[in-house]
Amino acid sequence: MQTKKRKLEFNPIDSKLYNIIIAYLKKKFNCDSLDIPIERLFALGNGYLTVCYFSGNLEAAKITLSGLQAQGLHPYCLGVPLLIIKYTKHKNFKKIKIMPLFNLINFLKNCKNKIILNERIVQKLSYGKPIDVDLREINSYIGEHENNKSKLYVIETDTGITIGFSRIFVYKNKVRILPVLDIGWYLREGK
Amino acid sequence: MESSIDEYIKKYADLFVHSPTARAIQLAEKYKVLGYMAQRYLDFLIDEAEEFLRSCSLPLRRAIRCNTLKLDSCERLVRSLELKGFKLEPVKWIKYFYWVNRAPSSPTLGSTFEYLSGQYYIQSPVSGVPVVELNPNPSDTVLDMAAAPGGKTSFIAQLMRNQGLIVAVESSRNRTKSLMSNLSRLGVANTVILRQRVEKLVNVFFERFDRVLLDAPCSGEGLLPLDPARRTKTSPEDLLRFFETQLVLIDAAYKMVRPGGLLVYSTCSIAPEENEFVVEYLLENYDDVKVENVSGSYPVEEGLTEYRKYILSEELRYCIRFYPHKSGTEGFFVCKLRRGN
Repeated sequence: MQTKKRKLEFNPIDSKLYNIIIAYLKKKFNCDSLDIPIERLFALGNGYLTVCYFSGNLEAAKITLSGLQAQGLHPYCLGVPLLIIKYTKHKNFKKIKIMPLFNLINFLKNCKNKIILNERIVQKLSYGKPIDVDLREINSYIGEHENNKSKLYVIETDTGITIGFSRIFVYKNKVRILPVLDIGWYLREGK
Repeated sequence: MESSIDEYIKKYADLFVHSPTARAIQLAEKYKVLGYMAQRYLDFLIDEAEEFLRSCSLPLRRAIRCNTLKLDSCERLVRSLELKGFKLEPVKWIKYFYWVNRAPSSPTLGSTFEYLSGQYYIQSPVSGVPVVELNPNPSDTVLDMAAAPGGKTSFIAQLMRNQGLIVAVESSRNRTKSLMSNLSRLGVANTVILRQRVEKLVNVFFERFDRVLLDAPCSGEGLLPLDPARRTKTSPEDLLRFFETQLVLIDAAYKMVRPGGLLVYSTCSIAPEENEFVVEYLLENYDDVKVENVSGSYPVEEGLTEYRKYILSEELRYCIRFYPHKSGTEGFFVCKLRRGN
């Protein structure tokens, strides 16, 4: 079965990678601090990593994983995926690309890059489409109002539901919100 | 050498041989089910067989489970859905479940932001019962043996408050994908997902788990009210194949639960061949298994202890059966088994 063929192993992440991830997220989402316990993060894969967060009993999970690995069996998933990390070669440098996933949102509560909007306005975002919002309709912090493509914003409804991650582009009195990852992925996957 | 499962199947081979009576054929024609099915309903539902068949043509109410892994309060979810035009009513006999008494044409139940963000799962309350009876604690190690699409796994995680450990096993590749995306959406973070035939895991997990849930693959004979195709889909030969699979799985489940641990067996079928006769296999073959009474108060009937010419263990009456004509739900079977120390 495929779980045998893929031979993807789960390993705890090391402090070097952890520091890279934390620094990246703090910069991307404008966070003073991020509380993601390193001992609960596991990486699946080799060269193309999925970083998962496991909330349960670590000792039991480690015994389970080593028991499975001893039999040549490898799990599909441990906990929830938080990030995907891709390593690419750029000239002579090894470049790292980090893609945040939906469950990361739970850890971004104290980050400043967050926009709260009326549910009616953000409907289009859930179809993966951009929206234009009048600057006056945004009563939350929007960073430095800068058009920095590398920044990401958490988009939330006024009823407290997170819709996804977006880039923003400010022009005249408008803010264009361009979804990067949105809540509609589940429907579009045909679930 | 013949295994205990082969011997057991031989012993009960007559279960899969049917000669429908004139009354059974008449009911089968009237309600568009197979003759052998109607005969079996007459055998175990007796005077209620026609009422059962009639109720299978009535629509069932939809229901949702509020997911407290994503919400502090279910009342908040009820309020926000009511603002969108839904009318919800708590299910009296199981916590966290709500009947959907009214739904607007838009958004649909499966496309609200609350649904997409994992605040609720569309789930029949009867399928929550095996999880409630499993009664998992935050310190437990739990095995969910046929886990996709993840409704029961995520409810187990909810009751464990995302602590402890769940090993969720599924053999089908496509169903594993749906299991992963559902658990991800619902915020389930205490689970190891494995794609594997579960009986192959006995060596790895021998006597390992505090609690094991086996919601076994089945004919779906309890789903007649939801899926008319089920009225003619399953032949007696198919039923025998399900029976064989279920015996292999319950035998594996027994071996993986620790002494003193709990095993809950359930199916969305009302077929005695897929339920009491599967549990009876454990009772006949292992001395240290006992059927326990359920803890909840449900609109159910007792498990069968007699069927056709067979007399089964008396303790099977502690198992429970949901019927559409009695509970207004699909047909379902749950049995709670304790392995002795």
